[in-house]
Amino acid sequence: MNFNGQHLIIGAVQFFIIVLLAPFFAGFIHKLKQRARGQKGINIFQFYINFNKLLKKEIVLSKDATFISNVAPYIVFVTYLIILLMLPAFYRYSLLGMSSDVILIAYSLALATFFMTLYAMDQGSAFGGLGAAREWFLTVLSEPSLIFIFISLAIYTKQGRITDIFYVIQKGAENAFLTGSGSSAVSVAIPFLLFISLFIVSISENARIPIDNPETHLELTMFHEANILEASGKHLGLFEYGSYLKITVFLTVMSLILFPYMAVNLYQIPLAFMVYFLKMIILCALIAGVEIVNPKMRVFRVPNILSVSFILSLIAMILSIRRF
Amino acid sequence: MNKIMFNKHYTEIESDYFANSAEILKASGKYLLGIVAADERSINSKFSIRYFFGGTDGGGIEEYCVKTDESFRSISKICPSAKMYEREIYDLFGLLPEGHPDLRPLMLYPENWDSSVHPLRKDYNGVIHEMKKYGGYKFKEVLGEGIFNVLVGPVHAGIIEPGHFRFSLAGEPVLQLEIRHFWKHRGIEKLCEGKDFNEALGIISKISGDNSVNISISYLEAAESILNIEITERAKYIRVILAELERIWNYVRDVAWIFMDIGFALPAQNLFALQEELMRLNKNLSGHRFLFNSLTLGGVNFDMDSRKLKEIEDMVNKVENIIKDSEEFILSSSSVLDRLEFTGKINKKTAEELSLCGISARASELKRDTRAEFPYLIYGRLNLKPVILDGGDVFARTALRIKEIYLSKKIISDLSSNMPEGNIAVSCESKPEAFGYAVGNSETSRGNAFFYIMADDKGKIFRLKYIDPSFRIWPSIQYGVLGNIIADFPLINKSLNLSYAGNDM
Repeated sequence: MNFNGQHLIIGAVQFFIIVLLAPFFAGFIHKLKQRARGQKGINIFQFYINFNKLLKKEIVLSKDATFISNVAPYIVFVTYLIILLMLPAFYRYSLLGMSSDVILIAYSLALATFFMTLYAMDQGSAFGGLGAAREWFLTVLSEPSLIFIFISLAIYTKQGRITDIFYVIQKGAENAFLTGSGSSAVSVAIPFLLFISLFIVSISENARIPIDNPETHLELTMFHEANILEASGKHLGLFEYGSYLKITVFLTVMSLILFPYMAVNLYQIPLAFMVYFLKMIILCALIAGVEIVNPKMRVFRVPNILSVSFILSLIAMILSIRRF
Repeated sequence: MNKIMFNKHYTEIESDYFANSAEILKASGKYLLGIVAADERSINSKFSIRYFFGGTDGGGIEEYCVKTDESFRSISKICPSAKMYEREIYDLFGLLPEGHPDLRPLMLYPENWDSSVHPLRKDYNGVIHEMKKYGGYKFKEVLGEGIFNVLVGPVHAGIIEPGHFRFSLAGEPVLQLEIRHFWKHRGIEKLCEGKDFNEALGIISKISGDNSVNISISYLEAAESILNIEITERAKYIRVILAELERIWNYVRDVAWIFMDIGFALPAQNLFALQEELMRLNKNLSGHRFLFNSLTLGGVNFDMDSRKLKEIEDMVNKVENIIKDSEEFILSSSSVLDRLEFTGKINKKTAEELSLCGISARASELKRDTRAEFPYLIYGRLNLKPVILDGGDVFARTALRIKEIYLSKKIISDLSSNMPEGNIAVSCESKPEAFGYAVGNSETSRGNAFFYIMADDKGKIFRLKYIDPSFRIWPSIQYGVLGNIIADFPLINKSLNLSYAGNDM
């Protein structure tokens, strides 16, 4: 990859746009759910307002808290920023595209979860420990699927970097479309299987119904929220913003698996951005739709649905290996 | 001393012998309705402790009265449901229940209150002691490898009243739950002493806002029988219609919250909208969304003309249709059933031992509905068949509420089409007999509301005791959660939907 100034600048602009859009996507899902239930709903920019408010509030820490509590929110937030720095969205290159190894991305996600759960336990409340255990219960079960999804993508495209992976998929689709040769059943099936598998993982990783309920005030039922129950002020703001970034990461990857369209030069950027935005809106609506029509499931039923995700990603991987 | 009781049987007995009688009573299928202590030293220089037993066979209420100076035999080992009453009596009267397994203070927290203060004694001078730490409270401990406690409350997320829940867990499964309540004791019983019957009604109707009408009915049953007031037929009809309306909106809200707690906001919002419409109907009828001040001594405060009755009928028909949809939805949705079934099971045996009432009892196969057991107003003529289900789980309690909405709807429709003519209130000039007492019963949306009232020689209230269904049912959650995981606790709690305010008078 030749690395020039233009890629750097557009990569940086792309990163800032996505980071700034993240609370909008989260707010949009929330608003959509509320409207579907007949409620007036929040301001669609409410999460920006919340973040701004939380930044101004004082931080209250447990007397048992150590330095971990002071650094963990930043580590979690910065980790998600770094992942977004690696990720392409509507431009073929990203700022950290050179080192956007898929395994690195998968384990950066785990790193953020690790520090969030450290924070939970560091507060010294028994419920934080329970929340951390629940979070890992989910993460451990969804990790195999996530790794298999990324590895099948790598095998399928013979690339290691996520920017290249999606570019290859895009090229393949373009070729098939332009030459009219069509795609083989396998090359269509793999992205679809991966998409469904990743969708299930996203729901679990982003604390969505039917696995977790992001809106509940019932602390005893919480997964994700149980970890940040003790967080306040700027710490809470960073965790909240981190969760918006996290769902944006997952939605962006999903949008690229099924319908990769990234600009390769300056002129394609407006169209590429619009396509990206439209895809994200559709995916947000899909998440909201799933949340509306399902109740939260029993905690110990969660492995069932995650095992479906795992099987799908396993099938996709077998198909990619055979194709290889 | 005069006794003006309805359909009741009275025995005065020695404390030591009563323990045996309790065993016999229990064996014959009677259960404890409540224990009422009173400081009657000014009448006969003794404290009295009255045990009220009832049965589902329609035999009425049996009263056993024990006179004592300072202690009495505990019957907690025979009737576990007596445990809370005896702790309460130990706190508020300072009478020692001998042989009680758990004598920790219940309402007067040793963290704030001197243990020598007993506010319900007549010689309590009302001096509020200095708020300082007089002692500590010891929770039950669960020990073992990897066992930890999760403490919830007394301050909760959301707008909920205070209650402390202490879970001992091994991972997710709950090994033990211990509840500590009574954080905001208002002293309503003491407050009512010396008030006249009308004044007290104002206080009583606000004990627990969402059951204002039904609790007032229970109070009025007792008060009107002391005062020898016979209310008109029309007033009885209106009272029953209001009571059933209140039951309906309570149940609609309860079912909505069940959906909310399994994270299913779409059907929940639908029912919340319906609840709002019901409360607006309340406001149209009575001028108050919670139907406050609808009832009065000797009748009701407003009449129902044919237009109002039509409005009510249209509304209950609408409720029936929407609830039918919800019922179908619950029964056809496996993901909803999966959450509700087998969650929070209260066994029939447990329900019996704890003398549960209301929804919680009927969902556990106990045929307990005050409207059929101790009929009041015109319920005796309606030939109600209590709805009984056998699951004892969250599903049974939800389904039962839905079925009872149909029942209440039917009662309202039947009554509003046969409304008798007449006045809505009679004058109540009569003075009560000195130290006459009576009990009153009614079925609230949570269960049996029980009143004991004794008048003094000036026509005021000498002793008033209210036993809320929540007071009887709260301990059962501690058994209902066993075998469940902690994440399901909010759902189990909501399926019982107990009142903190009614529990803690």
